[in-house]
Amino acid sequence: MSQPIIQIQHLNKTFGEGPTAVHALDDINLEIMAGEIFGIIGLSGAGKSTLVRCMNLLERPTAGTVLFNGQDITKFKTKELRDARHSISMIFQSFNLLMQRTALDNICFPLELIGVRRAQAVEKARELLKIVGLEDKEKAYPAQMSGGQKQRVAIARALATDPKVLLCDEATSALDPNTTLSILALLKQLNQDLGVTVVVITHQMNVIEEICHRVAILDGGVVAEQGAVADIFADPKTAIGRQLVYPNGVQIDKLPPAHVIRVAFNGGSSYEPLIASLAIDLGIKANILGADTRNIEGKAFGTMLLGLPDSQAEAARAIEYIRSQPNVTVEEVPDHG
Amino acid sequence: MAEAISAFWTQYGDLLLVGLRDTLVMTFVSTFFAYVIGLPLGVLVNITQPHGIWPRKWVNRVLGWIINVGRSLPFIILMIAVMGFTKLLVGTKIGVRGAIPPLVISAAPFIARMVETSLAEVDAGVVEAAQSMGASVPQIVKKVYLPEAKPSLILGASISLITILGYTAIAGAIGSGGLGDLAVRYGYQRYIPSMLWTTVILIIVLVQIIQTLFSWLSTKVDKRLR
Repeated sequence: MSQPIIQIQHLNKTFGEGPTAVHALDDINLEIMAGEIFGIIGLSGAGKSTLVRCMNLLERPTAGTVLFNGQDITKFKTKELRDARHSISMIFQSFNLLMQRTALDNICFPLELIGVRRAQAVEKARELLKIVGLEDKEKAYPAQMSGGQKQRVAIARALATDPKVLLCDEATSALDPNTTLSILALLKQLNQDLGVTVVVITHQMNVIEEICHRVAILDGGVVAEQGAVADIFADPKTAIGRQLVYPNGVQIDKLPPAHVIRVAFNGGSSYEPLIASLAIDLGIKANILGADTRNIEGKAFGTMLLGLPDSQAEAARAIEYIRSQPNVTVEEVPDHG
Repeated sequence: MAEAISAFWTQYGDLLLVGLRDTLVMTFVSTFFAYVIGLPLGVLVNITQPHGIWPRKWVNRVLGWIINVGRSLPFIILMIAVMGFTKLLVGTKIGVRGAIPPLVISAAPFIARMVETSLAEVDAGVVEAAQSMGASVPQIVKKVYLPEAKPSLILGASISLITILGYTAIAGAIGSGGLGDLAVRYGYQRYIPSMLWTTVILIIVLVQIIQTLFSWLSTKVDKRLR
């Protein structure tokens, strides 16, 4: 069992004072385990960028503690904090490369900061360029590279000091879908090969489903729910969770006036037998209003919105029948009808 | 025509060459020392502001106030006001030497603002990235702010040089030497139009050369433009 590497306890962050104060984060509690890929998802303004900036104290929390390897970094002096930051790297949505330096010199930058000799730094930088697949871009300036290439250089730069944790603040939000996938694959590979813990901040659910092991959903500065990605996808418990898992979900108030239920298949079952057996065994015809499958860590997870007949009794029988099936959960969609 | 030019050159050539040399010496030496003071001052004003990398409210206010006072004084008034100090520092109030201290005092605050503005153009995200890597304040200044702002700082230097070149002409009015002095003494007081226009043309040519050279240099070092 791995150890927690970052622990956030009762974290609060307030911007400003008095009546105009904004409570960006409210009593956040999180544990990020060494070696995992942890996702933090939320809509714009949910406080996720502020939260990740509290993990390396680019943002000072108003209250609460941030433990890194069991040590409270909010109590660190300037020098200690700067040393800790060599172990907690960060990449950004806008890459933030030094525009007047080549790819190679950008990667050498964090090594210069800790006084590594030039020859040694260059050797390390070349090694990292190879890992991120840009060995031929050594002399290129950021202005000569594409977004995906720039983010690869930024990742190489972040890895130069052999960090324990890599914080990714919307690292793929400025990239096109294909480039996003290639960057996510790179992060996954680095997590596996180097064992670096990855914290991913995003508003895109596909980023979470692509690489994360666990996820916390942030809404209005509080953690709405958290857990294994598979569990959250199979059965989101909160409104914000459902909104993020089914971003293009059916708008309930536009549905025909019938009982609407959400059925979730946890790993592998297919839709047809359930619908068919519902008709054969009970003679109830269910209407598929919407369906979605996702592939999480190699297992299929599906959800389906079913419209049931008007009759209260028949609907209850159908729900009971579905509930008795293995690997299936069902819930009534409450804000309907 | 050629004869007239030849005669003009025989009579005033040496005078003009000395004037040109004096102007160049005053301009470049003053700009150099003004940067020695103005560059650190501009950096300090930038980093001590509330959202800077080293916020120091009172340092920022005091420096800002000093810079504003320095910039408020018209050069000709300042030159007379600091004459005692000039004499103490370089041993004379006149000539090329006497002109340099007031030129430096007048240009340094101006340069500080130019530097401050150049640094403000550096992407805040890049500075944040350096902070996230554990860079210290001096490291950020040396390795992020100054190199990233280099093209803008070079353009700023051309503006500073040209401004100081203009000041040297004013200094000429109170006996500092240089092309401004020639324009006043020969062009204005003795009314020799050929001298007046020759000095004006020389100054225009100098300005053009400085501007072209520095614009070229700024473009050449800027790695964003490729």
